[in-house]
Amino acid sequence: MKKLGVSLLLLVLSIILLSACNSENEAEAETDNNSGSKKITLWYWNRGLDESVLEKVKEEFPDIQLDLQKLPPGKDYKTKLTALLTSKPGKDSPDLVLMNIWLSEYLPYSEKFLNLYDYNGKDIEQNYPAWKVQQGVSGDGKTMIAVPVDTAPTGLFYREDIFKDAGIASSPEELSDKVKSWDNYVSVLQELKDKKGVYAESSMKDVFSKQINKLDKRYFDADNKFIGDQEHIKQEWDKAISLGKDGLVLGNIEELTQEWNAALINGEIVGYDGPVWAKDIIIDTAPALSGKWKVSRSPVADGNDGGSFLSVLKSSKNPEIAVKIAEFINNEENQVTSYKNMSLFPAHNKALANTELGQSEEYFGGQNTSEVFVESAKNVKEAFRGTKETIVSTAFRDELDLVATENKDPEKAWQDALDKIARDLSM
Amino acid sequence: MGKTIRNNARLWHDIKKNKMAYLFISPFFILFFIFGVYPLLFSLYLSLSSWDGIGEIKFIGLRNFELLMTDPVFWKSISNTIIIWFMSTIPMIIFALTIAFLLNSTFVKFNNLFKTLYFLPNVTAIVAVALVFGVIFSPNYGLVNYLLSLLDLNAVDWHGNSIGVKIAIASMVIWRWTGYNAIIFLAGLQNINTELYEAAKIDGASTFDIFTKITIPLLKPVLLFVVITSTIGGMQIFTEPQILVSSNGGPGQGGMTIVLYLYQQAFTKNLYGYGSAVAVSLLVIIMLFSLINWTLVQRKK
Repeated sequence: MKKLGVSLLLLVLSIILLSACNSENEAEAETDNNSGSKKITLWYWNRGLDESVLEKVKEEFPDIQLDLQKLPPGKDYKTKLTALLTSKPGKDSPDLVLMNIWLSEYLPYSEKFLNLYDYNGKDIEQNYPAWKVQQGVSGDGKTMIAVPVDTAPTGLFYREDIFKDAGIASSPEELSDKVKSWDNYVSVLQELKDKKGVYAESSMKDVFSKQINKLDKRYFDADNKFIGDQEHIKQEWDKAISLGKDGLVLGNIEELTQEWNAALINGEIVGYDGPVWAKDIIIDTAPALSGKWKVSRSPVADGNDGGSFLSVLKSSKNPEIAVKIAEFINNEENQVTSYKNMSLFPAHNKALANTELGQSEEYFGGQNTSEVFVESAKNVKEAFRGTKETIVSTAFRDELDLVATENKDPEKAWQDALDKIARDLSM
Repeated sequence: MGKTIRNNARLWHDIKKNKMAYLFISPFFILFFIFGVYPLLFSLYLSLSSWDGIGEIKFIGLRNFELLMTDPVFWKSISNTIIIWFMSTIPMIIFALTIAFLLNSTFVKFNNLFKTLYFLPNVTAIVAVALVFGVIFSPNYGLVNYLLSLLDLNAVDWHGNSIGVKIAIASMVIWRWTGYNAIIFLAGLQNINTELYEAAKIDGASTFDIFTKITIPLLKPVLLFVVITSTIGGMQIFTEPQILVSSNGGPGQGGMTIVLYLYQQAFTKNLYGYGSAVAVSLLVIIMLFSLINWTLVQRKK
């Protein structure tokens, strides 16, 4: 009997311990009910939103109890979101979720999200560039699932000292004019190599991906039909191949990897056609090169590489307020603040025009690089992203790897990539 | 039939009698069912379906396995995994055995210090290890290629070269597990009766003879344990190639292992059904290996 008493006591203790972890939440929920205030839960990842702006949300909506949940970024976040959408919404389900450029993968399931066109969406979309809004609209144009947060227009980062020395360009404006067409860009790359033995492209696969980012149509049409085997993609493939054949790419080094960083510090890579967020990466990677970099407009055309969105889930109990919060976070003033604090490049049209947006930057030799990216952001083309983009881009990039490392015949590689894609798409 | 029913009734009776004991062990089983058995069954079901992670799960029978059989990358991932396992396990066992033998001998001082030092790699975060090895084996600016260039040898593409990438991955495994297995071998060595050694010495056996004729045979059970655990670990190798050459296994997919392939299909390409089919195949392969191990042990008895 004594033994039983001890075990019972242990059991009770363990139950108390376990429930103690939870009691705080319950207490909150109770006061919640008493005051009648509404709770909005927001999922985001580190550096995905500016925390000072989120503090302002609390001031702007004093009646709302804002529950901010910072989750690990990357694939983990996406997996959690996917799991959330397949399960029944619970008490702690988010109302608002931050999404990345991969939101296109969720467009076929737009019924899981609030259709913003039922909530003032037509007015919201006026505030942002059409190409950006369109990334969060379903193929038939009837459902808008996201409010734009930041964009990632591209520019050409380049080493001004070396470009000047090689007699290519003495100012960003001059360089912008010199790389307006593909052929001109190729001759700039050729000059760099001939005169200095340096490069501005590091692998065929990255050349290919970046050229695709400049197009007005990609791998799928609005009906989600595969069009990646057509001329507009083949052209870019051929461009990448010819650059590789002419020896105008450094090797098979993927951008923004350790290897690429090393090449940047060594001065073998002196140019990078990359998104605005790469600014911080370059500054961190090569602090010693401060003052030597400048940014001109991207070669051939302006592109976009990344950028995020805020969506309201259909399961939200307070959709109207959630939409208002999403709008507030992304209004002109807050997007300018987010850019200053977190380098989240604004999407809001007025924020792009805001004179406070940029300033002279020491690392870039006193240039106000924001001006370049603002121009770029205005010119990005609308391009529909399919739900299975990763399948397609993985196949193409894998084959370009083989062309680079095993000298595989480019035509055979193209055909093999298409076969692989056809197979994967049939699954 | 009647017997099983009676047995069941007895089982229930026993459970009721020992309620408390069962209550206390129940958390493990409840958690095991939720996080172990259920996902296993679900992934079995998924392997017969087509699913993108959100939408409808479509039952398609054995189509995934049909595709899998004709998928060159899948076969490549199997051979890669086995080759990497081979390249890592055999040197690892030799190193571990040597280290254990030295630690066990009387002439080595600071025994405990060495034990700790050799064990240290095993408790190091694997991602950090993979990052450091990534720098060492970097094809263009890495340490190994620099050393090779000092010796007037050609640089190796440690990401794209099919053998090179396997060497890089295997060396990570060796570095991480040699010390751990050395400690296990050491425990085995210390179980061997010293009288046997003394008797052998009196009979005039050399150190080499003692090692091959006494130490190795008596270590066999420990050796088997190490081989089996390293087989199971080796079949599931993932983080090392993922950090070194990313989810696509590097140019030419020389570093694509089975689990990496599973991950790429399910979580990068959203082909959850196909990924599950890879997982089920992995299950079969591990079972096959266990069977081989088991028959080997049986025969020895």
